[in-house]
Amino acid sequence: MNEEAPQPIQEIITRFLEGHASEEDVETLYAWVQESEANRHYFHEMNNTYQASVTLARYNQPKINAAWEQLAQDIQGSGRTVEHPALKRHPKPSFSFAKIAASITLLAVAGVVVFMVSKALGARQNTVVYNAGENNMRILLPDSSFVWLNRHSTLEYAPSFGTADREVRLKGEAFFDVRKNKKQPFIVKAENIQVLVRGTKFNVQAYTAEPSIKTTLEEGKIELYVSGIASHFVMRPGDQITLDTEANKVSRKKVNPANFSAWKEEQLAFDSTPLRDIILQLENRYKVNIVADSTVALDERMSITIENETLEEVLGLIQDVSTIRARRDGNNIKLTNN
Amino acid sequence: MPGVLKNVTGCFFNQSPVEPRKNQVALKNNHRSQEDGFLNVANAMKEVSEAIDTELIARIKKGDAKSLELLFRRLYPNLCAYARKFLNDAAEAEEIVQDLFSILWEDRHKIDEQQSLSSYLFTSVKNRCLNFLILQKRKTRHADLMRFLYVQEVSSEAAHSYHALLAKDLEKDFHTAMEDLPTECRKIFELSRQEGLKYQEIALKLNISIKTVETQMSRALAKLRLQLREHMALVLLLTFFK
Repeated sequence: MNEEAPQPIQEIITRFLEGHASEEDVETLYAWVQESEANRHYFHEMNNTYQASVTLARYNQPKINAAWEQLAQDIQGSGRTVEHPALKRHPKPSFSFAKIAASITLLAVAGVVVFMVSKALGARQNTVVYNAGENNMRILLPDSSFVWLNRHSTLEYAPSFGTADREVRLKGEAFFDVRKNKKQPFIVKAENIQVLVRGTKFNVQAYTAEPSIKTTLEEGKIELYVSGIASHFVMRPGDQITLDTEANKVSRKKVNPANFSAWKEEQLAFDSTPLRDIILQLENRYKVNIVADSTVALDERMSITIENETLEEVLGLIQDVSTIRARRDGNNIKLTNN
Repeated sequence: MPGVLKNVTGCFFNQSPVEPRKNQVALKNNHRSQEDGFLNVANAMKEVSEAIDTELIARIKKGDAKSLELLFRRLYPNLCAYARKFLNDAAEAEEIVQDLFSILWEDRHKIDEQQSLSSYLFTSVKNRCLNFLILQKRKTRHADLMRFLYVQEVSSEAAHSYHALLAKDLEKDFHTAMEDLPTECRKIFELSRQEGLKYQEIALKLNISIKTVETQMSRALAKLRLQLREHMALVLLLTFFK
């Protein structure tokens, strides 16, 4: 087929291949390729051309290097689990000790107040990290994954972590940057959800006091399991799944993941974020309760960037740009709309 | 595992000093003896690919990770391109290719040295992608469309062929084809490909609308398709002799 497809179709095919197609585009394209063999052939040629153009540009040396390192690690990873089957059953005390010592060093570097608690669990000693400090802290796990633990949050893992399994239990909020390992998924258990990942970046907010658990994916792919719900949810970057723990109901939406991992940064950046979410993040950052009465439109969107400001300064900022008024009483803040 | 093109495919990606282009040009200009031309190409390619492939396979079978790395570096971009063709999803495609190499390494003792390893890898990637499309849990229209095009409808030569994606001269031909694009069109396409800018960033940078970027991108792609048809048709020719 030498002739060109009509321009609107060309554009739809391009959008489709670039990953920007709307549902309507997909429908139109579907109908069009069903029309004739020539149309299908045209699509295949466009697809070949597109993939060739992407390959020539995208798969440069650094990208191939990274992919190879990933594979090399997967291959080695599988060898390591085979080498130490004994560790599964009889963890050596020195091994656990070394791990705890490593964690303490890192925590000391982070400069936060931390309680290390050893919980007897049969013969095993779990590592429990509780962040009681003023700042969030970064933990390096034995498998080289990083976890940013928010204040008043707890992360717990067994001595078998990194050898027999990669499982952690979370109370509170943490951001995970998980080292990729195809052979051994990384599992986060929090309240009544489980997140299964291979290697990715995501945030889990699961405060016992909160009626909802939020999982936000920044990079890669994760699977979310909710107890009591048979099917699991595959999440893509930008997806946020909220579990309403009271009704055991799940909702999914697209968000700007940066808004939800911002607590681990020096800077909090809200980009046209509903007040509802801003309130949650402020509560999270300043450890206060913020209650808005029915006069406040929680869907109202605001853009604010916070660095070293105190809570008072932030509330002042909100009052400046809206008709919302804030009243503080100890740890409780009430928002009303005048 | 049946290879689509036994022993012939390997040559397209190896770094051998033998230059298949000359043979291809000869083939292009000599329609009367297409078959002879093909056989010459095939023979030249066969020698090269076998030398490299057999040696590599033998070393990989012995557990030489360095040889696996060599194979990986050669084939990774093209295998990813082939997987993307069926899935239209870069992350998923890369995962499938990565998995395949993991399994190849684990089962290296099972590798058949008589088979073309590259044909085997491309065929495996295709099978894995088609399985992925069939078993995909998410029932989206996007997945339906890809299933229709690549699982149900397989009549088209261009559909399952991977040769168009890995010919050695593709890069050269691609750049020549790019040079024939209208200036603005080429500029936009280059910003997107070479510099990896998003449509919005290109629009801001050139002070044009996103819609214009989109139109120019589709124009570039359609023109490149025409420019590269000859190239691809030539490579596709080889599949008739499988």
